[in-house]
Amino acid sequence: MTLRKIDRQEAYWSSLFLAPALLVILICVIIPAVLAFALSWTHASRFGTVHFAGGYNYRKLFEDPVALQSFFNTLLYVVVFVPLNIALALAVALLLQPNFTGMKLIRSVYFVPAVLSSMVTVSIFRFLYDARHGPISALLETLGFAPIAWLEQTGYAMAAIIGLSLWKSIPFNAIIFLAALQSVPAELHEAARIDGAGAMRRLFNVTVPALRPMIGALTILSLIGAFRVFEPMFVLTEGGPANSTRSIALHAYLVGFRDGELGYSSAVSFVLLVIILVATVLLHRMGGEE
Amino acid sequence: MSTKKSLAAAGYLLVLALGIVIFGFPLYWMVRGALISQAEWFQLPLVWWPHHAQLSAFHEIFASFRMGLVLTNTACVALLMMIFNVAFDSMAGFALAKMHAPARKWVYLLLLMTMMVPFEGLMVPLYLVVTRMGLANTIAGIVLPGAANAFCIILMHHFFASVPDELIEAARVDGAGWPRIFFGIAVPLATPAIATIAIITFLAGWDSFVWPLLITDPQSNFDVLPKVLAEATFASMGGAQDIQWPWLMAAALIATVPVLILFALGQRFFIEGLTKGAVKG
Repeated sequence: MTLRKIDRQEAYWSSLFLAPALLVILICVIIPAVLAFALSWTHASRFGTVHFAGGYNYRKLFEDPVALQSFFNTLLYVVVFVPLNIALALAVALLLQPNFTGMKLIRSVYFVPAVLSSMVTVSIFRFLYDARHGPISALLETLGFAPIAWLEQTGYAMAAIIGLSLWKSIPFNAIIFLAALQSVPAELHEAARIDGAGAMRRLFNVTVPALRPMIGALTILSLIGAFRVFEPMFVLTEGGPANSTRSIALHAYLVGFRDGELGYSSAVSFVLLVIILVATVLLHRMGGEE
Repeated sequence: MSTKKSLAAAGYLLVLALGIVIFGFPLYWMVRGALISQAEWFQLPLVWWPHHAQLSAFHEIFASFRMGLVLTNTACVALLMMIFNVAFDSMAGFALAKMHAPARKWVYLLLLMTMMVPFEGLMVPLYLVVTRMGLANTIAGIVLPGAANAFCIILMHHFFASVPDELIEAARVDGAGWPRIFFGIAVPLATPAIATIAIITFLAGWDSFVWPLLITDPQSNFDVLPKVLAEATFASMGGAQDIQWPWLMAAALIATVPVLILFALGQRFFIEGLTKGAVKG
């Protein structure tokens, strides 16, 4: 057998091994992405008419007050959600780090939200946030405050959705942080303690630097996820009240599927895609080589 | 010193307990909601504890709602997604890690890019493509976009990269072909990684509702549980009176049980996989 024959066999089999996965990605990611880009320059509608539109859809994007608001809403969501998510997940991981009898059980209570399906979470929170029959309102009333219709008032709806997302997301990240904490050498802590460093100094000078790659990776993942936020608004508020919870992804969905403006919807999607790419690259740069 | 220490311990326990309430209470509220009647749901002051706990909501959703069909569909979707991913992702990961696949650097870069593409942003064109393929209102149409996963391929790639080259070289010298190397050597070594992607993708399939909601008609024969939950939750937000709240919470509980079992069994793989994936991916 010649070397060339072996190489050809290797190329043949490796292509065969890659083919199914790449075919799925081609059909479900690459073609739709190219199609979105192509459609964004047209007046495509649900009814099959396609006319070239130049930059009309992109201009519309910057003139449509609802679109601008959805960008603002998404940014607000990202800016509040991402730092809270990472900081609280790390706090929860530290909280759950000690080992004593019963800790395993306590950890599983904390971790259940991470595996709960997102739709189940949304359903439960719909009832938690209920103004008349929800426990949060009942608690407020016992404390002497007025009940709040969390999902129906402009000031509160976004906060309610961020709360739901944090509840689901903090445990997920805390699991990963907790696993990473096991790999921080105990000697480092011991040495810092002997040098007289208090708990806070040990946290910021030993633990946080040791977890830096993990913090960076989870921040990027959390950021990508936050820019894509869609599900809770889609089910609970449909972007309301007064568009205060309309995210970019929801805007793209609503103008595309409900209003049938496929061209405009594609332009919105494409801009979202670019924002995510740019944000990820920027954050990557900031975090150094990892 | 010792009072300061015990004060810190008390503070720690207090925060720990507060966390249990925050993360545990919504789960309790789901269980409570499934065990009380609709009338009790609407009682004021609230019924905090189900004194007259009953299982009628569970009986009712199986008797008067097509729960059996919906559960079967959901299980089919989740299992199919898991099987396809295990097969496709591990093959692709192996080819990228251990074989001189043509243009593999580019393929790898493509996968990294794919991970960043927001599915939510591509729903409209994806819908057009899948509908054009004639897969609307089919199980195949529901499963297709989730049949391979860039994140899982990269996870498998990292795993196979850690398999020593000598093992594969030795097998090739012995005249083993690539399929035999893959199935006979690589796959048995990769069982933990395969378990990880199996769990991740099963959960993703069990979870998905936005895509099924788009690609199947309302009340279709291919309804999955999260889709039904989404529709009912949405309707109840609009103030629909015929939505049985206990049914909703009972369905949510049914959706949760398999997930909890799977998590309890596969916790180790799940956590290991996520940890590795987060750092390297």
